[in-house]
Amino acid sequence: MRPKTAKIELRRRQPIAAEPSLLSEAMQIVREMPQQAKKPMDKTIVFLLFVLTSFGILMIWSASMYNAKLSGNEFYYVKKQLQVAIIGFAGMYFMSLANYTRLRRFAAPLLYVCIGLLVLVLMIGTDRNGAVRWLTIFGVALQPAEPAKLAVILFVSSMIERHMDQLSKFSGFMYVLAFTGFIAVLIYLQPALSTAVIVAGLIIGMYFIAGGNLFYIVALAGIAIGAVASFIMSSPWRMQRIFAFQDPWSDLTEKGWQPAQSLMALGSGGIFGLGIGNGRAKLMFLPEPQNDYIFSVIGEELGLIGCMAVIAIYFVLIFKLIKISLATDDIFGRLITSALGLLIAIQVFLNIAVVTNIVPPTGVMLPLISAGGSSLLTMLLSLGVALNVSRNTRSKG
Amino acid sequence: MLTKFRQMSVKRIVAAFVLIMFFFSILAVRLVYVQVFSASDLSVKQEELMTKKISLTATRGDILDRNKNILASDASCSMISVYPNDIVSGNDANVSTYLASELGISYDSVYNKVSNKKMNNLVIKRGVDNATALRIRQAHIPGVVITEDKKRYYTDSSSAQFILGFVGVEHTGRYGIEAIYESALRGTDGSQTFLTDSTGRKIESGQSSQPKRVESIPGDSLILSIDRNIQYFTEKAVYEAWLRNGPKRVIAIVSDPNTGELLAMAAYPAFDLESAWDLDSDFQKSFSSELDGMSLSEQQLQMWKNPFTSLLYEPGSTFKMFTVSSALEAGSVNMNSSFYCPGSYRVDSITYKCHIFPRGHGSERLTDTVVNSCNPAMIQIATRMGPETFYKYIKDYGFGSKTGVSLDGEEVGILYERTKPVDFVTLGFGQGIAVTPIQMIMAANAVINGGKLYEPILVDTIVNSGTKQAVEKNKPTVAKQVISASTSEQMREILYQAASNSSGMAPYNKEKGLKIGGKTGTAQKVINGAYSHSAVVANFYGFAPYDDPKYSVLVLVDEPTGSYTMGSTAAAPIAGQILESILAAQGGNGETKPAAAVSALVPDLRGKPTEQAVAILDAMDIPYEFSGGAADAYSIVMSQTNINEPYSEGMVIYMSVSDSVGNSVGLPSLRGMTVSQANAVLTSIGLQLKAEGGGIAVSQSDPAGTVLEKGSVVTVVFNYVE
Repeated sequence: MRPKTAKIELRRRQPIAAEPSLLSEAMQIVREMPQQAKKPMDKTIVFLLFVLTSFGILMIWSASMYNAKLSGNEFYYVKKQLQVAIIGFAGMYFMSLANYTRLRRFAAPLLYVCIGLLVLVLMIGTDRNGAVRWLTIFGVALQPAEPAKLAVILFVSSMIERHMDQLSKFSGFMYVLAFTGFIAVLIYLQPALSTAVIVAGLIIGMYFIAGGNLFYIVALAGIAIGAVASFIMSSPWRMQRIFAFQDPWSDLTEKGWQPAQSLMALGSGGIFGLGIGNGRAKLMFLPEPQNDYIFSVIGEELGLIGCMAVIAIYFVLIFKLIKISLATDDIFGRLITSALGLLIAIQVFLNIAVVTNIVPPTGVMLPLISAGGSSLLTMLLSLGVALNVSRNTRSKG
Repeated sequence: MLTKFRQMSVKRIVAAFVLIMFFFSILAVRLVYVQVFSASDLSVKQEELMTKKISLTATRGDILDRNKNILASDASCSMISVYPNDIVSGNDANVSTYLASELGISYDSVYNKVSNKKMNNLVIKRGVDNATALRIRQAHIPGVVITEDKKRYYTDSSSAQFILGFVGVEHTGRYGIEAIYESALRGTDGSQTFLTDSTGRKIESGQSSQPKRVESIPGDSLILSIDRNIQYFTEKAVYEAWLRNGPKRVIAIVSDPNTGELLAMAAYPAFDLESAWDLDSDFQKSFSSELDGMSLSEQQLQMWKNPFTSLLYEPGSTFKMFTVSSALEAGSVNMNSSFYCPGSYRVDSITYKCHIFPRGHGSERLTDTVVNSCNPAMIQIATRMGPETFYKYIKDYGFGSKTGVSLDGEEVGILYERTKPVDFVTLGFGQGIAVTPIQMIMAANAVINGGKLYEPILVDTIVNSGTKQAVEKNKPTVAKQVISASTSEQMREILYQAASNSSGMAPYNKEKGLKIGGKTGTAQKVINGAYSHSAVVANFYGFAPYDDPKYSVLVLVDEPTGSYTMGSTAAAPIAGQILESILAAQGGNGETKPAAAVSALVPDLRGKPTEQAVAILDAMDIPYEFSGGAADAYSIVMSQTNINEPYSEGMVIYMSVSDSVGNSVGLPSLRGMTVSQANAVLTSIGLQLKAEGGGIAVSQSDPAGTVLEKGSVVTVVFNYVE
């Protein structure tokens, strides 16, 4: 019954006439909240998020305690993550009550703000280990690339919705490509190659899901692979460097250090793990054990069983998001939820692929688990949006 | 349009989901491969990377004299090291200043290590005494670490240097017995394995891998043939002679001619064993011409060079005992043979003068030729034997080959077999041959001991430190029967006459009645290929009592100066003084070596009944106190300070004892007790004995010091020991 009302309302709003002001749209969202609250929330997703986030905090504690203790505060990362998690869940609840259809109005401004921040970070960002990825505003370090992911999802979704007829045309594809290139290069400049690749993959993925021209996608993939392959093979030295990760033991103290430490952690965890807190790779052997390599710590302390359980939870979460997207008739809502599922899938895959040494080491966070306020907050807010989409689907998510 | 999108995107979303499933299954497969199939390999690699092993230096075996007096032993001490990264930042200079002043080393050397943040752990100083280490420990400086170490300790560091040798910074033997018996003395180092982080910092606790400790096994102890008292007499005589005669060096060896055992080996100048790297000032004075232009390390090598085995000298007249004994044995001469000395003697184109030329000895019997030390007579004796016979005996006496003594740097000497009369006859009076002191004394012993050339013995017994059983025992070994017992007896008579008529030795025989036999020699040194007119080696070989030799002495005075420069005047009195002291001590009215100021190591009393511990400390005159309450008769010493440290004035040993009033008792060491003794001790403190085997206790089920509940059963293994 209720979904029906939602559908009617959505259709009514489709042709966008005059754009209301941001303030009035925001007021409208707040005004509509009691109405949204009457619709059911997907408790399974909330439960999964709660499990992942609290498990993340537990593992951050385990992974970071040694290093953090040496610097004087054993609970440094745990405290930060816990604070962000509380804010994040509150924000998620708020977003789940915010009528997502009104977010169209915010897509472009949010993107502009994010682009502004991405430009700003290149100019006045905080340098950590040779990469400028953080903006420190009022003592709070922010990674603009993270909210940019949400902004890109909202913006691309609304743009595709608006220009559906252009999608399969060459000009439409070129527009997507240009936008992808712009955002990816902006992020790459920090440098944050992995995030750039993730965002680019996300946009192309959304183009694919939305029904983009398959021929263009295949051609693009072909050109990209060809270009990368020829670039790598143009010098034996480069090839050697790229593939050095496959034998981390040959260069253990330098390039092979991270993959080797990660593999040893996973291996010593075995099937059942050493028990939470008992891992040893975090004793300054793994770089950023609470962050990019937290999955190694999970593998060491909880074994194959723990690893498979984590992957399974992600899989169910992605499955739930896909289900919501399929249950939504609204193009905007469908794209948002499927893109979110895609983003989580890409990040989980890349993170674990790095940790298990399938791909060369690159910094990718494990969504909701890795320590990192910007990432956690963005994820929870995005999933709040997804929860609101699920409130407005035809049948229960 | 919307419918088209809906159909299209459903397909695309499903396709994307299938793709995600595919990629996730790659992860699953990879994880199974890493965590199941490579798991053991990877965890071994991790284990290797994360565990560090530190070596626990084994206690070196003791070196004891023949009466089991300690000559060298390991003392407990401390090692000071730093973890540069744990030093509070900005505090490098303060820490360096403090350590430099406490340890008496240069500020720069400390600062270079403290400020070297690239390194995880650097040793500042080893062998630091425990009192200093305790002060440093109590200063509680983060990043400064004190660990247990071993220090070699010599009861008299200015004695027997060339025999004992010394140990280097790594606690391994350098030179002498310490180096030659390294494999026996060193023991087996233990190890401590512990988990570290990637910077090498030790992980204290809370980790799954527990630190493993493998205890070290102490090295074997050596019982030398050296007699501490005889060594003392010899060193005293040598030092006094060096002061008196001002030579380059004085050396003396005392041996038992009937076994080949070396009883004392003394040389002056030498060096100090506790500071072996410092150049000795007397050594620098005596050897100033040799040391000129040498680097410090070359000078050190020169100082450490063992004179007993490497000093090559021309024996001169002392060698005449070999000429005469060989000729007697070969039958070329007999006691009644007579010779004529006109003052000089011509062989082919060369005229050899007698030492009293232009006078001559005239007509001489065989004994006279030795007493007179007459060169023309010796030429005649050598000529009667002929070169072949003479060289045979010389080689049988061991000249031209190593004795195999357990000391470093042994030389073979110089022995050319030249058969032209003009060349070989000089051997008759000990010229044209170079020998080492150790060769000389072993060969000379063969002349007077019944003709047996013994292999020299320096180490009598190697004793296992744990079982206290002999691992190896060196028995006297006759390398060669050179001359017959009867010829040897004749030689003893001849040499007694020679000594009694020698100006330096006569008083010992005639006035003191010591019955010393022997022969002097004064040989010109060969310097830069020519005989020197001024530089000589005055030497003397003697033995006593001559009719039943118990002791033999070789004395060498290298380049004596002043009015006493002859074998008879410079060397013989030293030998007389040494033999007199030895024989007096044998008779029970001589002196013995006074106990050194720090001759005792504080014993390890842990596990011993309090009564016994008190008795031991009282006997050693070491003050002690019990901490934490008075001891009663059956309490056991549980902990103790200053274990195995050299006792020094003002030191007080603190002990804490077990509480025998309560329900638990400390287990004493039962080693060496009989079954009934062990039973009495155990029942008296409320424990029960379960005896296995018979004889004396060799092991017990719990180590001494273990706290047991009263009524516990202690299994003790007894064994019959031969």
